[in-house]
Amino acid sequence: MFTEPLDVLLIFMVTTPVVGWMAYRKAYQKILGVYAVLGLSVTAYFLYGVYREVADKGVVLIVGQMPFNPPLGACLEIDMLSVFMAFICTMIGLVAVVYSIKYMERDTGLTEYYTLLLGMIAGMMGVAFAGDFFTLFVFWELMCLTSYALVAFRKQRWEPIEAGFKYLIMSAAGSATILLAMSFLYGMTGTVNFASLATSLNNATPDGWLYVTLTLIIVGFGIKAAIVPFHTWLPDAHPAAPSPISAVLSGVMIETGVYALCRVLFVVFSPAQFHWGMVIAVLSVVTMTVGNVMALLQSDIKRLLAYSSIAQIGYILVGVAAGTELGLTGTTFHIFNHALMKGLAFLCAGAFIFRAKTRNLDELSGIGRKMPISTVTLSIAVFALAGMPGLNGFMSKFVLFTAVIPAGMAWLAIASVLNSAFSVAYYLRLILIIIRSPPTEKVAAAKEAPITMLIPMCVMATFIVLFGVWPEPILAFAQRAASCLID
Amino acid sequence: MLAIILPIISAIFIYVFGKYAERYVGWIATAAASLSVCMILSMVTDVIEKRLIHDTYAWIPSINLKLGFMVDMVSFPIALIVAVVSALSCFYSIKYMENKRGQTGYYANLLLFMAGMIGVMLSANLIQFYLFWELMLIPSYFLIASWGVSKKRLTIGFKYFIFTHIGALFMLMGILSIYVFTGTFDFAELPRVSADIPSTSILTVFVLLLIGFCVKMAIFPVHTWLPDAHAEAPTPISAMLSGVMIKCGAYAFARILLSGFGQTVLQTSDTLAILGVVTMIYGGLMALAQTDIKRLLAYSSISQMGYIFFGLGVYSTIGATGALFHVVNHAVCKSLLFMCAGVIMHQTGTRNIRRLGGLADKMPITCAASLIGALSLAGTPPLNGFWSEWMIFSGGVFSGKILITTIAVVSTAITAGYYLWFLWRAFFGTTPKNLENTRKPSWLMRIPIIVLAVIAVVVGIWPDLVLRLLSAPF
Repeated sequence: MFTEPLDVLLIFMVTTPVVGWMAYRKAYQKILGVYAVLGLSVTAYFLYGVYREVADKGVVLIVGQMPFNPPLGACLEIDMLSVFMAFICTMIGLVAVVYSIKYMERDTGLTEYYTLLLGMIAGMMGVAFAGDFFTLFVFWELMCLTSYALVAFRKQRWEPIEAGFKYLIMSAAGSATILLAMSFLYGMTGTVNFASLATSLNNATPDGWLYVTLTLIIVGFGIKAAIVPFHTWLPDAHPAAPSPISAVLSGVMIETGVYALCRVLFVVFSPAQFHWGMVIAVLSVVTMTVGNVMALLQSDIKRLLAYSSIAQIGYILVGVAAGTELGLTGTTFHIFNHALMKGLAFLCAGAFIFRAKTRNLDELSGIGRKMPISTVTLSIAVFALAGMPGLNGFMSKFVLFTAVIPAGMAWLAIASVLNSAFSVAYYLRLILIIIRSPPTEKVAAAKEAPITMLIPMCVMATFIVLFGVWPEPILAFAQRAASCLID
Repeated sequence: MLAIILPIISAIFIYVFGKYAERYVGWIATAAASLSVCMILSMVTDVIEKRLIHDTYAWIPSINLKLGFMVDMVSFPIALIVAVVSALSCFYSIKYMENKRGQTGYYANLLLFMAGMIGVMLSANLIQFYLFWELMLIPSYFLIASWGVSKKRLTIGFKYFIFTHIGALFMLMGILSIYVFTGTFDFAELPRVSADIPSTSILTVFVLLLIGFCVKMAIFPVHTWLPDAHAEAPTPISAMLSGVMIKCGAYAFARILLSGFGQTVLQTSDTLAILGVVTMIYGGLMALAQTDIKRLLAYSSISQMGYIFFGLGVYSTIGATGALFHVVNHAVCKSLLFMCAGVIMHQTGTRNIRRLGGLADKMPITCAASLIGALSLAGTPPLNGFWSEWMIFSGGVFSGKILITTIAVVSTAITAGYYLWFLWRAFFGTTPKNLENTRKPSWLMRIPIIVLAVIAVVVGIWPDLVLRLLSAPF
């Protein structure tokens, strides 16, 4: 129907309830996790095929004839950047699913859980592949709807419900804003296809309505990307969700917001015409500063990581503000790295929560001695987030900072470096609390996380170190992806 | 190169498999460290024959970065002394740390720390340099925060980390601006391309880098992390921190600022020399006031870094050569003194100088070694410290700063003062009652001390042994 990886995901999503119905007994429910792992592995295999095709031809255009022709039918335009984003979705999705098998075993409603999770990954991949605004919006809504339900998944407690509701309201407002912007564009140009939009707006003189549209787009996607001041849903939603979901939300979903923003901004509103670089630069500094300051004040491990995600979105935007190819390489590279680092950090936090049943940092203090492997992986993730050299986070930050100075925004580089320095304080505080001895009563009985949770964590930690010392493969991939936006 | 990779690999190996051989993990680590020393030593003939070893490997072609290692007459002697001191500290730890928990983690961190320092010395470009610079920070932070001696170790580790990291970020900003102006990170090209930096911004870049180096060297007024961190760390780690880690700042000063920013150093050399002298006197006076052995040695390190900074700052060939020579000598003597202090603490259980006395009979070898280390740092001929201090001061005279140099020379009296006071209280005089049963230290702790003391004497009698391997970077 669409393209193989996306089809596979949708098929597996639709068939998960059937499997769940067959595995009616609680003891059989593990099969659901295995089924989802299988689905994502097949997706990864087909994604590799798409990658080969894109590497060959440059851009793959798929226009769906069913059930209508565009603009109402699906139009996919897959370039290297789409493949890059889809790759990240699949990778983090796979890790989260493997992790969930053990983490979610005590929960009920696993059928729904895996269906929604596969749906969310399919939604994100669809956004990455979309070739027109309409297709993008449909998949965007698939991603949003599934994520609302996943945030509020543990519905027997009040916190997830409240967080999910807040998230629903804010994100729905964002979607409405995007829809409004889309209809403005359609009204002005008569098309929603990205390529045709670019040609029709190519020589347009920027007038009031175009600026209104531009603002709507920045606000609409900015809500999902958690750009300050549209970030307030995130610190509630990410801690409330189950940890593997937090990993996907923080690791990929907010970056999908950044991706969609970049796609529309660079393809439709060319930076030379509309001069939005400075706006993004200011937003990025505000975002990273607010994220870092707020993270320092948290006493909940997942809230701390959630605020750190906001700060990292600020760094990601630095490259968008620079608007050069090097800057966007930094952005895409940091998106990849952030998916790894923050995904891992949330999984490690999840391992602590799984054993100690608390998110409070004071109660978690001293757990490091009980769970050494989780602590080492968490330290790797956190040091990478802080930008320690030798780990992947440093490499992408480094590319971002070098990119932004020739673009004439040295102040942005200085602000980011200062923020980076500041952020070390709370990352270090987190590690200090974890390794502080002696353990509290609450964690005294904790033991190392089960093996199916440790495997994804160790794999991710290995990649963080590997891409920290040898970033070339991903950097080259990111560079090819970034060049798709600049041409 | 292998000298760096080997400790890293063995660190991981020790951390993962160490628990199966907990009793031998120290010996394995020492073997790995000594092997690394041998590898560095094997390059000695190339260095004597003045061949520049410069290996590059492809690393990140996308942003035109290469992995490069460079060995020349600036980096070789310092890298060698780093490796020697680290290997001896590792050996010393076998006995000193034998009853502490977390052996595997301790030795793994120690080896990583060592690899970071050697990496700093042998890097051939600025980014790799920064990478190793931070690599030595993280393990040393864990060493202080996890194996520190008092309850305050976490707070002190935090202070150490934040201080050094912020210094490093200033340095990173300097490095990035160098790249923006010149388009290269390579050390070898730095002297040639530094002319491309516009004269209006060169001072800013210089100051950014200088702040980073000064924090590491603990130059007044950014020294405050040092006394806490060095006093807190377990003694073998103090020997590494004080003996070699702070020298990375001196090396960086020589490598980057002297060779790339010679003109700027020359213009600011009065300020630099004054900073050096202030640090010398301040460190010395603070050392006089200490009653804790390790804090005394830590403040003495600050004072000694003032000598080195002074020698580099006056911008004359003999001064800079003397400063680099003093880096080597101070590494030998200060780690020697820390190890002696460690022996005293280990055998007597106290680190308060007022409670010590008359230990010369109990531990003659330690006493003689401390005497050598302290007299050498106080500049007594014919020990090694005399030669380098003499060269540093004549560097000051050669560049025409007679007044500042005179103050500096006079201030060496302070050094002699606090060391003699310490030696007298610790080793001579009457023995307090509770120390009468003090036993002789283990040979495992005496061997590294003897080795270092022998190096100090031999280099003192025959300074050319080191000087022929060493030259100023301009």
